[in-house]
Amino acid sequence: MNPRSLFKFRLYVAGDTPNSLQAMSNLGALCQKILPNRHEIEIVDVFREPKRALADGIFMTPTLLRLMPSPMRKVVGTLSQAGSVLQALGLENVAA
Amino acid sequence: MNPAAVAPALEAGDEISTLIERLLASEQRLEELTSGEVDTVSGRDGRTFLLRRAQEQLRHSEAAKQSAILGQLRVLFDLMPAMVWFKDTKNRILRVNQRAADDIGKSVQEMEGKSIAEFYPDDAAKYYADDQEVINSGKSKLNIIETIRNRAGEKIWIQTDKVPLLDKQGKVAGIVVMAQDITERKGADDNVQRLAAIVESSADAIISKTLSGIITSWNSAAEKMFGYTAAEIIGQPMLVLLPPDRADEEAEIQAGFVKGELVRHFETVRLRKGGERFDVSVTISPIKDAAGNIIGASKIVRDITEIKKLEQQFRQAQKMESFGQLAGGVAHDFNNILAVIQMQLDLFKDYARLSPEQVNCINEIGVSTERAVALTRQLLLFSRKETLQLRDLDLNQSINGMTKMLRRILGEDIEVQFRFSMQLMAIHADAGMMDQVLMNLAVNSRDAMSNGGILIIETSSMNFGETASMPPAQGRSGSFVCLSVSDNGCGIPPANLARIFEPFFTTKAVGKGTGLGLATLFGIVQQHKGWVNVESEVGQGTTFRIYFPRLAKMPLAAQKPEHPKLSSLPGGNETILLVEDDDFLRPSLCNTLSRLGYHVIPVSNAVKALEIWQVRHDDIQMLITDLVMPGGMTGKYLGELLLQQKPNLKVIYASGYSAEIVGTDFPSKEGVNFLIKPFHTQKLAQTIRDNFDKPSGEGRI
Repeated sequence: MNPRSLFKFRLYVAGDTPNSLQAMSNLGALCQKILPNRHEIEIVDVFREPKRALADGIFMTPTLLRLMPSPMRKVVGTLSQAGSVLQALGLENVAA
Repeated sequence: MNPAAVAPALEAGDEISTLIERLLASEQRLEELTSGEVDTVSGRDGRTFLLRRAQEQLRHSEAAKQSAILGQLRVLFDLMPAMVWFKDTKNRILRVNQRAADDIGKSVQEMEGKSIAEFYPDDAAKYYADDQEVINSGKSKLNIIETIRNRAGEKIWIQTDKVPLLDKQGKVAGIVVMAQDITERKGADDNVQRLAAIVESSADAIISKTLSGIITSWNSAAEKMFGYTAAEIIGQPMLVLLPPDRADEEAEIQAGFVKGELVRHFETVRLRKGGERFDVSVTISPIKDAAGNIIGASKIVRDITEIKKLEQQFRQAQKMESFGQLAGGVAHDFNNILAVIQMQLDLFKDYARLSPEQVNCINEIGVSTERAVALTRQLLLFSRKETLQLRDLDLNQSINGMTKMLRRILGEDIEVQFRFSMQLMAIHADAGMMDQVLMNLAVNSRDAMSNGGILIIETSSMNFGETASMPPAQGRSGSFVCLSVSDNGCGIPPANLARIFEPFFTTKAVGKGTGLGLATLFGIVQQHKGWVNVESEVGQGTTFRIYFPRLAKMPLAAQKPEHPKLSSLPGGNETILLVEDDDFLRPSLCNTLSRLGYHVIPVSNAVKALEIWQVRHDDIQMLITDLVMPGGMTGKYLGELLLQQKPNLKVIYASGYSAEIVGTDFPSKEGVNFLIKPFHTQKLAQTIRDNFDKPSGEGRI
């Protein structure tokens, strides 16, 4: 994997629910730290766009999708456990 | 809830219990599956379910957020720079802010729920009237300026807005009242108003302008003075007020002004709206902005036309005064000269065998001398040193005697009509001066009718009563003789009409008029206790009406003065002491008296007269003395001194001045013991003879 390639994320949230807000804030901090200037984040509210959640096969919020680089990966939760999140997203090398 | 609808639900209690248990079990399982980090779960059909924990967390955070916002709003509400009340429609306070509570000295808790009337007993009804207007109309009422009492009981000025509060149906449920303390601003406004009132009521024009000379304010005195309204002139350049010949003045003032030179009571000329020039005194001060920069100027303009006029009149009076002194001074000597001429003429006629041509020449000299005498009298009239030679006369006769001369003066182009009243026009007047009056008017009329015209001279009698017919403005009631002189000449413009009696005011070309004619006339008429009226219309003509007090009795037939030969005059052989300081007049007088047969002892002053008196007081039967003499002793004093020593001495005083100047205590009577110089030989001879011939003692003063 090219270490300089772009990361594209889509985070599914449910309004202003506490876990969703925490996930948004954790993802933002994570990306700023390890992927500066090489990431895009799209936030999708399942209350507003339930069909997109259905299309992406989302069964819980908050759920993070790594759209790029492929293959797609999926992480559920507040993204508080940085180590396991990096691992799940394939970013452990980047962080190092 | 409808009770009927609840009844079946009660029966379903068991089933509800079962369902809740299942629901809780489902939630329990979902929590386990999602490990507590998930808010929602979705089914395969896309329906999303908010987990109970998330629901509760959300509820808590919403409540916290709302209470935070409410807290912030409350702070804002309490601290906003206005007093705010939320009131219901019954004048009850629902909410009040801290500021309003502080202002009245109560707590918010004390006020909420109470009626406004509890806190503002005096004014509540007035405030509520406005509230009701808002409640009834459903419309806001803004910018109400009113007073309210603060916690110290002082009245403060507030500006209040009242806005209706509507419920969901759109009905007025209450009102919100917001009031701002404007006491300070109002004080400042009042101050501004007071200053504005001062500016408006000022009698001086107060004008402000920008540095580029554009007028920015204009008070009502400026409107009156210049004739422009504020609306007309504001925005116009200052230059419109300047006469073209002074257009540079504004720039000069400006240049000095910017350098800090102040202008105080600068006298100049400005223009009224109609273009009329008028005298002003201008004071200019700078207008500065907050930073101290000069941004304009204020001008205080005073109309000094009247002051200037007064100054002019004062100067005129001073001029007249010095002129009078000059005339009086000259007249004394000049009269002596004329007396010599007259006397020498009389002597000459008597000495020589003259051909008719030579007699004619002498008579012409005589006429010219008379005219010189008349001129001197006119000059003396100003110095008020001229003696009136009053006697009873008929004005008709006086005018009649002038007809020939008038026709000669007026020329052939002017037709003269005389309209004499049938009544006797008896007045107590100086005949020479009456001639003078008529002559002056005729000359003016002639000059006003350069292309010919008609001059009407008319006499009439007038009776002005208190009620019957009111006298003209300057007149008074009584019986009067009116001399009216009318012409159909060019007339006198109104602006000049007011000035025609001013000495030296003339519209005639230089050298053609002295400006003394009508001034003399005015003086003469006043001395005769009369007055003058003038009516004139430009292009139509002018009428002068002169009123003199009328005498009831018939005057003695006017005597035409004759100049008989010296040898036919009454003489005598008495001894006369003659005191005369004029070295030319003394020999003439001496000669004349000798020719009349008298023994004359001529001396030039009172001291010499006393020396002679010491030696010859037995011989001397008469003293003829000048009243005014150099050397410290007057003729009057000399006369009194000699009379003390010789009570039967005859004394005749002579002077070119009025009897007035030697004091009011001097009972002189012209032709009896007083002779006005120059006098005719005949008058001298007659007066001397009369004094000798009347019984002893009567000549005493």
